Amino acid sequence: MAKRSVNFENITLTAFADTANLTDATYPFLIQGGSGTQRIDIWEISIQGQSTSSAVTYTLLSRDSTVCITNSYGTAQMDAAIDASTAALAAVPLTGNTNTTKPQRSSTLHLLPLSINAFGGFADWKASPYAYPNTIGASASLGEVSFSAFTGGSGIVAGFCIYDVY
Amino acid sequence: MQTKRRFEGYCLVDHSNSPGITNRQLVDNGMPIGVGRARYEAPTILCWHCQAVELVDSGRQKTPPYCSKCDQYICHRCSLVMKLTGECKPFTKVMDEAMELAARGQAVPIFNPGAVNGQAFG
Repeated sequence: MAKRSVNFENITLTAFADTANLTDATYPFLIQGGSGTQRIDIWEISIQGQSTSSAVTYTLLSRDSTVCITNSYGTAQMDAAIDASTAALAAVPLTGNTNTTKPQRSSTLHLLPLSINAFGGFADWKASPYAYPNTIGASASLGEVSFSAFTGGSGIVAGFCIYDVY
Repeated sequence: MQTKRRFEGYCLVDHSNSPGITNRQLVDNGMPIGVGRARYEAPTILCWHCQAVELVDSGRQKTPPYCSKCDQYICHRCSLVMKLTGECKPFTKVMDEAMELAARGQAVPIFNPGAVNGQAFG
């Protein structure tokens, strides 16, 4: 077990339809397994609006029908272990939002809608210790999830996602 | 005594310092009425078949759909699929099968919980 946090600041979201390429640095994060058998549990997602005027934001956690390839972090986005004594992972999950092959959100596997008005709005979701979404492996459709803005709304946001790696 | 309440997550949406979101915009995006105003707190359930997270909106329902075969709460889509097909396939079984295939180096099939007779539903 190794709880980690992927966090992001001042991301200007772009709204994407399902099965559309997620453009670099316009969505908060994705999480893809570091190996074909790695399991990732998602514990908490928090999003805070940072827009300076009213901006309804339809953010959505969803499995991806197309997974990313060659991942890196965007500006003000990073991933770190929560427990300072955590050992380095042999297979590090991918959590950036900049990729050569862009991920695509699945149209049938949406997991969690978290809509806010990014002008002062805030949303937080915590999983039960007994029931939480997982990813398995690193290939579509179970191996990757992404948190992105759905068609119809976008804003400037910050936040984090806490996840656990097995 | 253990209850199903231990499987509930927690969701907080706070628009106390924000213009908020209209009810029409919320309904169009699959969130319950009232989420876009002031402070909204609700328990959430994780569908045991597809792992979708649903807010338990006490204004419309007090108990989420339930699968008696795996003895767990499920989402409305999986509830409808179960009524149509009678099949119960918990996500834990999907995980086990995926891990087994991955360990053997075989491709994991696309997960499609909303399929009825091979066609996507919902």
